[in-house]
Amino acid sequence: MNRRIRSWVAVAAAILAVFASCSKGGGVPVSRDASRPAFKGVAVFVPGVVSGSPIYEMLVSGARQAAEAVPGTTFRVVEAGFNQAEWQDKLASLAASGEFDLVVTSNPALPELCAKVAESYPALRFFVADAFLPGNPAIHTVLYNQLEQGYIAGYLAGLVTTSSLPGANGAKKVGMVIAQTYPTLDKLIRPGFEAGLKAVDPGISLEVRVVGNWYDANRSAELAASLIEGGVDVILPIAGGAGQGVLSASRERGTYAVWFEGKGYGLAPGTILGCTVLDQERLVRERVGALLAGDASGFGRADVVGAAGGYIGFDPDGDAYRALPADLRERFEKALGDLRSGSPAFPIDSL
Amino acid sequence: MTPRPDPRKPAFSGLGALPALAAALAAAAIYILAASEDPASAFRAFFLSPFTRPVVLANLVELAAAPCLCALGTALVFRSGDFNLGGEGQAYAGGTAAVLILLAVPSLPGPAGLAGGFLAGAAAGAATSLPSALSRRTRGADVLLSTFLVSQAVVLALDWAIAGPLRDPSSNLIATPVVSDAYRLPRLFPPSGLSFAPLLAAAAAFCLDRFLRTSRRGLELNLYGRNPAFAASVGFRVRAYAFWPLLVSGALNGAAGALLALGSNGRAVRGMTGGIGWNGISIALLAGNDPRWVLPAALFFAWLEVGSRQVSILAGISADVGTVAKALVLLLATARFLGSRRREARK
Repeated sequence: MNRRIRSWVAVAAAILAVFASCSKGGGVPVSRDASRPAFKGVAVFVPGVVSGSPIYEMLVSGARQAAEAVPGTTFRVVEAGFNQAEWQDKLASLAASGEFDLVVTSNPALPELCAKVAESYPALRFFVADAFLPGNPAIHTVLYNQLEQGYIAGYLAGLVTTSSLPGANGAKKVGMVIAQTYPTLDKLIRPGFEAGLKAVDPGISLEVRVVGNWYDANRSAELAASLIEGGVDVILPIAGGAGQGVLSASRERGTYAVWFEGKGYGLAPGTILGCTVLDQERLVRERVGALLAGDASGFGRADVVGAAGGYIGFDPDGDAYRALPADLRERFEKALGDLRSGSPAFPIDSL
Repeated sequence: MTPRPDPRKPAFSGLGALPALAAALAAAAIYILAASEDPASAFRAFFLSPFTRPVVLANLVELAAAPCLCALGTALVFRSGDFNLGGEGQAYAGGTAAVLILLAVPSLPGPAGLAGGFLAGAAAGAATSLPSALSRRTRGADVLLSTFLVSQAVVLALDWAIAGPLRDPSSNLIATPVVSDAYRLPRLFPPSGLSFAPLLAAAAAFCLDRFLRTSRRGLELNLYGRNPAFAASVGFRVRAYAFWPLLVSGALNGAAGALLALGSNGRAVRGMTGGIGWNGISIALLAGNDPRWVLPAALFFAWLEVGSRQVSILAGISADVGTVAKALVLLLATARFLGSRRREARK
């Protein structure tokens, strides 16, 4: 070994020694007490990034509140980014770290990945919101009844397209611009939305366009513009960031949108006439709180929550909604009240 | 008189990459210092924790395998004097083809199916590089541009196909159906994902090194890469050397894609290559296009990747730390490579 290589090796060894001696204890801040919580570490696995995503912000907030209520519980948020192909490996890395025994996450695609990781790490447990997988003893899932959420959005869209609002054209055509098809959308959201439209007027037709990804706002604006030129006057975007294109196209042409992704009136004032909401924060806080308190009955179970329990609802605090004609709002709020009372009922037994 | 370059050696030594490695680690350290409230824990998580848990270490070794194959393909084309910027599309095509073939024949014996999947992957990768190789051979087209353009077209087409006609309708992931368990890479050290893939990558590196350093064709290829005019003047088969290295490179990238697809996912997921083609270029540059250094360089990149995951999991710092370090490696290694080329040109 020549002198140059020896010098590099010595420097590397010195650096590693410094890192090794920096401090004592484990790599994760841990505070333990004698009460021994049911889970020593809770990791929130975010399949995306938290910032800018209301659903993940609520996920993190709910899980944090639950973890902070149980002294001695380690809590960490891990953002896995948008590449679905990496999620399983990153989930496995989380498991391999050995620092967490409860993983909390939210996404319809996650249960199948959690089930694979659970095969290799049988002590690990998972809570997945916004997903449905019964029968796996390591996984507890809770699905929002998005038939109901779709129904709420559809009912409002139906009232708008049959109204005499300035942008409504009497053609009784409503649109959806979606990022891609996926089982939850095909089996819950779209049928629920159509049911809402038909509950207002069976003659309302629905046209659907697919962007192909979750980010291309230009493409979604083109699709929305073509729908509007074809007579559509209300559009429901289910397209993540690409949904912005629908809003801009609707705003430019004086038509309307209903919003599915939380409180979004501020994104397009005067264009978004109504927003359906999920109370993910409360759901996660309650369910993770129960798991941390030692209630293991959820594992293996897939629950469905909806409007009756207050987990699915509508945000009335928007200027555009308040500016709607009083009789329209009255009809909508009556339908919302009926839905909460179980009429119409949208049972979900499987996906 | 200037000494004649030794054709058995690459244009620059792998050892010369140490400053790039040191700079990458320094960048990671600075990032951690700036982002962490508890730098000591974060340093341990990034630099040491990949080596303290056997499962994590095994995952690190596995993670190096596919980029290593890509880097070998890239190095081979570099040694022939060209640049293959199409690794991403070639790997994507390889991974998707491997899955489609295995979905079409679900009842082969496991090893036969696995071998068939790899061959299909390699063939698809080679086929993706074929237009560039042909246009280089017949029309002297710029490989740098053509490999990139073909790759981008393939990536877009496969993104569409996986989200559309090839998609598993029962899954919420944008992915094809899963292949039979018998066709998945067998795990050698569960629960880690370690398979025989790193051995395959090491064997490929050994074979490529022996070819380049000891075979007549390998020596000719090296000389052709450094001075095509001289190679032509002494009667080398220069048209062949402008053709088959690209095909082999495409095949190696395709095999890397098959490794990705038949590993933990067991299917083609949209975006599954995740920048592996570009990582392959970085690794090849870091290794000085010397096959002997490619696997260590791939392991270094895997360390950066696993370290950034660990620091994200254990210390709550964004996994971007690894991306920053890799970007710096690419920058410095490219600068060194271009510098060596300029020096050679002067000679």
